[in-house]
Amino acid sequence: MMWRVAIRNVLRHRLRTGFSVAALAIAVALLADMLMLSTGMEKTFNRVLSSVGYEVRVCPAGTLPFGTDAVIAESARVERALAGDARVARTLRVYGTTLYADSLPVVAMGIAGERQSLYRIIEGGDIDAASPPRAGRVPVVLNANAAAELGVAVGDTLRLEATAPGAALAFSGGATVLVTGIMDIDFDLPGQRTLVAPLAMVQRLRPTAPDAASFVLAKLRTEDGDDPLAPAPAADQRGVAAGIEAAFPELSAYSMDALMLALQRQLAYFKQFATILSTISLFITFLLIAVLLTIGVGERRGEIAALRSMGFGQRSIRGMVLAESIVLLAMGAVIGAGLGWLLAGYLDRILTQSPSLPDGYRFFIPEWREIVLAVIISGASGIAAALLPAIQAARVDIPRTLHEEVV
Amino acid sequence: MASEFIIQAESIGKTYRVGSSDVEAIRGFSLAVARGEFVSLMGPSGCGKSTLLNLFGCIDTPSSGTLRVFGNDASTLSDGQRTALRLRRIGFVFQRFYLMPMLTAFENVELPMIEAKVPRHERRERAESLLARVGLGHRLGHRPHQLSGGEMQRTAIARALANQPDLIIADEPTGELDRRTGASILALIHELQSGGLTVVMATHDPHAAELGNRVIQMETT
Repeated sequence: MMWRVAIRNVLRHRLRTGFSVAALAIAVALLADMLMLSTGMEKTFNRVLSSVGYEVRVCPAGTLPFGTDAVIAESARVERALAGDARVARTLRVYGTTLYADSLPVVAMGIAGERQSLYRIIEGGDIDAASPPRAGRVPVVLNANAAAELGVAVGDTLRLEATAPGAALAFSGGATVLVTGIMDIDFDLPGQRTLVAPLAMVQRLRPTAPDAASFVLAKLRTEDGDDPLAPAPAADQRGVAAGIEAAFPELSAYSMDALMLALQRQLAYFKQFATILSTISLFITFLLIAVLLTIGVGERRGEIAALRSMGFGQRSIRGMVLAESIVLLAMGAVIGAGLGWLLAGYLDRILTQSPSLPDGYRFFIPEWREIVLAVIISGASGIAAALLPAIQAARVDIPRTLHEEVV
Repeated sequence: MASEFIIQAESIGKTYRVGSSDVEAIRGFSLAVARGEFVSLMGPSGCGKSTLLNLFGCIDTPSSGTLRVFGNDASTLSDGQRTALRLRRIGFVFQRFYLMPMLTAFENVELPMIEAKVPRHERRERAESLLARVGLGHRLGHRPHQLSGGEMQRTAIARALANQPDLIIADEPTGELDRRTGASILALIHELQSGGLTVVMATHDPHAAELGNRVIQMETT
């Protein structure tokens, strides 16, 4: 009966309730979306980093992979140190720079290492990154976009240069390369032209340091040795990273969780934004419920006093008011959950259309966990807001209220 | 014997604080109401009739004197004890009915029984029977706004009887009704008293007051 009374009380003023439920739904949706925003980016990073299959990343001190142009001067020494650790299964040195393929700028990645899992071959064959290039016929693989824009297919050749056509200074000449395959890589920006070549060739074209690499990746051994993407224990990851940092103070080595932490620090701005909006939405929920119930209790003081005089205990009266807040919150939560889900998808589509974002990057990942969390947090806020009107209702001065109602 | 009295008031007084001054609503009032009696309180507005009913109904406590309701010293009962007493032993009939507008007549009568934890099947039977007794057997599913003033007061009387009280406190029960409807409500209250209930009723109407076994004439203090 308490719930029946609460539902009917709420539905007494349909227009007022309708507006309030709409506002509550927006507050719940906003909170859910802000939770999704703060976790969506982290989940994307986690997914993309895990999909590569390397758990330890070594970069120049204080930098992140692809974060700066800084390089590791002696990458082979780092690779040997990693290979000497029994927990490491394989390594990959990567040197990222800009080169010119048939006069078009491309993002070039020189790699050296065995059984790479940085990208996937979708046509033709991979370069043999472990072997030195053969003179005049250096193998390269392109992403589909580069192949299309350069107008080349598997088996065609390209001319790679270190500098743009017509540049006043030319470094290290160029090389004729053979396209052996087409690949797909998770980190590509939309429309990006990407080329992967043996590290030695890229180092020759961009001689910043004798054995330069942007970063070195390490895949650790796992119990499931057959799965190249199976993650190694976090303790092993941290152990290998600590060993490298101890041996090379000029480098930073990241385990997966350390890298996620570093990325989270870079996302602090977004998190702050999400926290502020989440707090505002909680305040809106709190104030809405408090105002609505205070007005409702004020309007029904006579009824409440009559119920108290008939023998309804303070607890029952408090329960009735709290039940009303729960009914309002439930209606707001149901609509807000759907609205939050749809809004997250819509906002994600808008934001991920930005050309400066890699493919597969997501801001909002609609998930029930965040929706349920938003409903729980909003519910707690709404129930807290209902406490004061509930206590006021239970403590109504019966004789005075009945007297005032009659007068 | 003391147990034969439902209400025993000895020189009770009630003072309210209004702003910075004290207002004496009742002073030195004594009365004993025996089981099965019908006592009418008559007097002009402001003479303290409603205050007295609030005290007899354990809604309020006296500022002075001794008041015993069902043998309990009303001044020493906690809020919870007075609430329980009102729920189980006292039925209230108000001038303004105070029916819950969103509930049907049946649900309004059922409401105090839910608070008293009467089993579902029993309260359904009792609510139907009470509404039939007050002549509203055909109005069970009607909401208050679908009832006339007299029907609303009949529903309120059925609600007051829901937990089978020993005492009915009626504060101007015909105050909002026309003379004819009021007469039918008074007849119903009189019928209840004839069945053994104790009734204390406040009224302005001398004809209504005459229904009581005793009429207490009150004056403004």
